[in-house]
Amino acid sequence: MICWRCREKVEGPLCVSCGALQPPPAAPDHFDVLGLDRAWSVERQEIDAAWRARSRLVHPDRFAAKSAVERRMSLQWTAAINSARRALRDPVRRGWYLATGRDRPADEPGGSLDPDFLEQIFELQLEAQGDPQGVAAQASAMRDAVMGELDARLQAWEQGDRTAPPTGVTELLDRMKYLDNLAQPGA
Amino acid sequence: MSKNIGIDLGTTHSLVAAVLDGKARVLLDEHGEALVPSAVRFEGGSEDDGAFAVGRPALSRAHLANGVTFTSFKRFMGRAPSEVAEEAKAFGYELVEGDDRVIRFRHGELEFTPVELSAMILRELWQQAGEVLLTRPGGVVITVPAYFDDAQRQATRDAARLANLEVLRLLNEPTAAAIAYGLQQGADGQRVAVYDLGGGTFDISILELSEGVFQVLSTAGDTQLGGDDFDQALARVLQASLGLGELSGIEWRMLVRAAEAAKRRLTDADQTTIEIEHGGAVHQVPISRAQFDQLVAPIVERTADSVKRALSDAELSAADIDEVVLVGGSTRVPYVRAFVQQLFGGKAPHVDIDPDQVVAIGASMQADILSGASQLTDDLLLLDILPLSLGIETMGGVVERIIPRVSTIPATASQTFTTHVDGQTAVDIHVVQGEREMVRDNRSLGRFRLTGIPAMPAGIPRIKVEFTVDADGILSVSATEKSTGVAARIKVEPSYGLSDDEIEQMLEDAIDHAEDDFDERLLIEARVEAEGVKKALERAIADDAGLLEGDEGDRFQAVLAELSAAMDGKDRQRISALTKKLDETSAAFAQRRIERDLALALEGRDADDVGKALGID
Repeated sequence: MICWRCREKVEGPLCVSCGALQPPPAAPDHFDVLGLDRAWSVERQEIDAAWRARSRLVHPDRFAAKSAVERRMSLQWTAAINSARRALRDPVRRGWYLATGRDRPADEPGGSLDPDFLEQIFELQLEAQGDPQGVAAQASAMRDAVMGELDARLQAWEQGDRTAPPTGVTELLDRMKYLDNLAQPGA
Repeated sequence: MSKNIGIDLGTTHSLVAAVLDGKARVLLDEHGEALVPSAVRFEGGSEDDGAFAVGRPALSRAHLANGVTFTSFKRFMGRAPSEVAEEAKAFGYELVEGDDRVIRFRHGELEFTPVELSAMILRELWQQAGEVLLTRPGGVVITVPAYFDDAQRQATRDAARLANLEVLRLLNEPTAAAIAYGLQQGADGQRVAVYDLGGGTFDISILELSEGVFQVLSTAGDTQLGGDDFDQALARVLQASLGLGELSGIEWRMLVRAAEAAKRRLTDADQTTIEIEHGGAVHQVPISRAQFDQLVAPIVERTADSVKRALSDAELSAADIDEVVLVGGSTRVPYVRAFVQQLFGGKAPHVDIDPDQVVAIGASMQADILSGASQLTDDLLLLDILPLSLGIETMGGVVERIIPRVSTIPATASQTFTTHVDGQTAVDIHVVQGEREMVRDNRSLGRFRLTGIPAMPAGIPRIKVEFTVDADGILSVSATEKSTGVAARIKVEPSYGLSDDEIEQMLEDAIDHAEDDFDERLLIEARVEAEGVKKALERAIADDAGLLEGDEGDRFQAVLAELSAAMDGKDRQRISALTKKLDETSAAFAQRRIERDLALALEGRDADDVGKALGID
């Protein structure tokens, strides 16, 4: 990238030579905009710290006295890092993003749950005989198991070359979502 | 460089503050008062008699007949006429019928919107700031309740536009208070709850201060709950207990004022007596603190729901809060203080900054920081959030959430739309704000009409609509048709409040004397100052011509002549510049006079004479 103002080479949101804010990427990658490595194992505090550090650089408050162009870019940058933090902070959303390269929509249709899983659920409900507390407890335990499986799978992916997105993740996340609903009594 | 200012535009009163010499201070009016009542009075009520008063003079004439004094109009900002009919009646205001979009109060032949009334307050404060700072103020930070929705924020921005102010930022009131508190206390690593009970609104915000970043974790509140409600409740009790029956608008307002005064007295006193004149008789009603507490308890308790919601949104419990800050005049009520203390597990709330001033002080600090040349701090950043979710209407009147509440702002989200009919060139998007599932249960913000979509078969166009909430918490929308890259045009039709065109019209209609008035005042001040310097020098020359050296006398006369000529003109800057020049040119002469006087003093002249000669009394 070349700085739009001083024509020097730049990396990151601000030009090191002249301090000008650079245009945000057209299709921002959540890890990139926060200056983080693409990874599954990342602590919430790490994400928050990166987000705070970037906020300091690009937030509109820093550009209130600057040109309209920079004010506009500052708004776009800040919105991008805020979206990135939201998408990466929660492990379920982070897993989804790693696997698909997209944000997980709030009401993504359940996807195709595999028949074995549905069979398990059916048996669970049959056993519980309409006891909602029992179903919730079982579902919650199953959810934790699925989370364990997801974590193992993504850690394995992380050890590899990370160029291809992890596979089998969205199916696990769909199961988790289904179990989350069951785990909430009265829902 | 002009000085940025912070304005707390409150329901019952407003304030202006600025950072001077590295310290934030409230700018006082010519009577030394910090609080400007948010009141506007109109006398005659006809096109010919449009006399009006703003602030204290407006309030002090409220009891007089023939005119009308508007107060608490902040409660009506950005709301729908249908929502406020009852409330308008409680304040004794007459609403213009037949407009379901814009609230208009009627007084005789004249009509006023809450936005115009707010603009008059803003202009008054701006002028007051200019008089103290002796220069035109720069940009303005205006505070709004954190729980204000998009329409209410937009209305505030419109008021600033009508008042011809450059708005640097709309800042949430509790956040402003936290800045004032945090910067003065240097409270890093703490979690702070700001409990803000004003005249007409309640806000609770939970903030975290970490490495110089103030992050708002959550916010909740009620834009229709405040100290005004205490007054109204007490007034209703008085009305019933005295059997006053139906009251006129003015009688009711007087009763409310009496109730308000009693409320204030009960902050320190355990007992007070309210005197009411009605039907030629004077009634005396005693009321105790305990009775008052009982009366306001149900109102104060309504704040607990919001506090609980804010804590749960922040994923915290009351025990996790390190500090509680009280904001707003209504937190002076002892019952409120006790209630808050109990709500946060016995933690005593902070009251070290005047609860009436803390918001304006914080706003001025943020205004200073936004100047980019702050001496307060170069390292403070404020990250605020969206108080209520934004959504769009989908099939069957269901809301699809696009930006959830508690999202840190600025925030964006995009959504792709298509057409349902062949050759369709326009699409309507209905934007709502709130947390409910159905469109009808949320607040309608407006309709965005996308036009200029290329004619294509149904379902083919892919119109990417981007929703952006800026740092003020205000939504804007842009759209592009993806397959052709054509930017769709967007027409915004606000559900409530004034449209852009209406604001433009108002700006044109307003015969804008305010700016001229202000410049006029500065000009007069410059002339007065020039006159003083000129007179002093002329007298000194007459007294001590013997102390003049070289061509000093001629040089003084030249500058004096130049200044006199300038003073006949209207160029304030030139007058000030020449005044300064005269001062500088004559500095050596003045120095010689002082030295001469000191020498005389040392020779044992009478001390009083020396004092007089030196200008010391």
